[in-house]
Amino acid sequence: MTDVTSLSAADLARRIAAKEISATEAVGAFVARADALEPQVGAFITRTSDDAMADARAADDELATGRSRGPLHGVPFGIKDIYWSAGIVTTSGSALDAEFVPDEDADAVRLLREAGAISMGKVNTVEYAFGPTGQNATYGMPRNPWGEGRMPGGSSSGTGAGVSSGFFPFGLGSDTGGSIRIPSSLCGISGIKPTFGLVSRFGVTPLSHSLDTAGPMARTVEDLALILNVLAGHDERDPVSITAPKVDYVASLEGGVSGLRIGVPLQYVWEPIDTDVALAFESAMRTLEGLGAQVMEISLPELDWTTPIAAGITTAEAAMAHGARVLRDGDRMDQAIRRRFESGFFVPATAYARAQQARVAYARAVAQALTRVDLIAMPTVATPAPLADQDTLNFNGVEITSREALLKLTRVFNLARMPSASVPCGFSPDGLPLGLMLGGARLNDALVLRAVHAYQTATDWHLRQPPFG
Amino acid sequence: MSPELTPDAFASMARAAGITAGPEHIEKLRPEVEAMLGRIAPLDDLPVDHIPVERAVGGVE
Repeated sequence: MTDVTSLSAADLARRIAAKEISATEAVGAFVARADALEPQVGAFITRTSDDAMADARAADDELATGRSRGPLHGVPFGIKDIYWSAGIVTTSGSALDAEFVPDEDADAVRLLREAGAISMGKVNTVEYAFGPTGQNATYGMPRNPWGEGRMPGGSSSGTGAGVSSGFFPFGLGSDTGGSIRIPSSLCGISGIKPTFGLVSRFGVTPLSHSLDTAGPMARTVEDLALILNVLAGHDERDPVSITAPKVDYVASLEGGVSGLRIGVPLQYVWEPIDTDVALAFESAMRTLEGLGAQVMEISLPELDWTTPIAAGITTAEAAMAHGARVLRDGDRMDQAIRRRFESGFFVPATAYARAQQARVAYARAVAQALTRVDLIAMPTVATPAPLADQDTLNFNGVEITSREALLKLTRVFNLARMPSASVPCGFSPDGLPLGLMLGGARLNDALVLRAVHAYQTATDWHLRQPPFG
Repeated sequence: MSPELTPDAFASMARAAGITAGPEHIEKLRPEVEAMLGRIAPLDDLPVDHIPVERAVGGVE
């Protein structure tokens, strides 16, 4: 008999719609798995199992009368705890918000619920989403199911660990510098940072207003497309929300990569980088070539600007968003996160403006490169999951902080405001997942998904289960 | 601004920014601020004068 908790969201939705399994059975199986394993994982901050079971019974009642809410009818999901959820505590991963109960849902949560999805609860996040490791001083660091004592990645740590552990087949993440794609890579799942502004951020705790992007994480690319169909759309309550032509991301999945030109940057990406990561990436490029893609090197020297631009913007905007609370209540925060916020007070206004000017020039350069190729490829993260307490890494004699190793590649597409997806593409000798990242031009989310779907269809990395539970 | 800040100069800047935490916290914060200023220092040398500031900061593009 099929283990329901190993199914993709799309497969589960099909089986529920066909009445092969009830929503109550499905949600019950995920609740039971989380009951058994959550104490070892720590993916959740607030579990809402009773509400989930009640919602599942209602979903079954609706199906019995011939009514389906939508494409995710009866499918469970996890909500990163920076998304508002009406009547449920939304902590943003901080002790400061331990008692904050919103009176309405974030727009993304509302859309998923209206499409029939059932919340399993609020899941762990780095405090105010300000960090890539998964560390959280108040709610703990979730376990990476692929390696005890390894970082799950962040900031969407609970979504990554929760999907990978089989607690829900998909979840919401958010991505300012890589916070969807980093935990997706480290936890062996799939994730997409959509085009900036494509998915509403209404009701999502801000970190860096000019970079923050909402998006999904799941087992498969088909799931990402299914969920993006639900999430994409204009929302006037988000000042950066864009009006874009409606796209059916699921229908756009087929078509493969034959004839597509995939550019691999010569600069920035490769020094320093873990050797196993580079080898897995090269193997992925050979796979894409075997599917008919044309892989070519591209020159993009502006990528060397990534760190100063990202630091100038994110640090300053984080202080803009939360500075007053940090000054007032910083003693109750993770002190490392507090200092990160406080650093933003020291970014000169001229440097912030300069960083924004540079970001525009940078985005134009990436856009120009994407007139010569259809997609840009690189590893998602420069390293397999580091040890949880590992501050620095050394690749071939070059030292780099774990934080920088996690962030350096994903940031490229945040600064360019372009879509970028991560899918599993191999394992390190220690059995830790590695990620392939493809990015495309603004509003070309469908092409990005089509390409990583083609890769996923030709490989089985995403089907591997962690040696846990 | 120099990335190297004397303890006294940094403590004054921190107070001006509204940070009232004790000296131990300030001493931990100082190297992090210095590192951050070092990370953003290359911004001065980037050839981006042709990008209008109001276009960049306004979030149009």
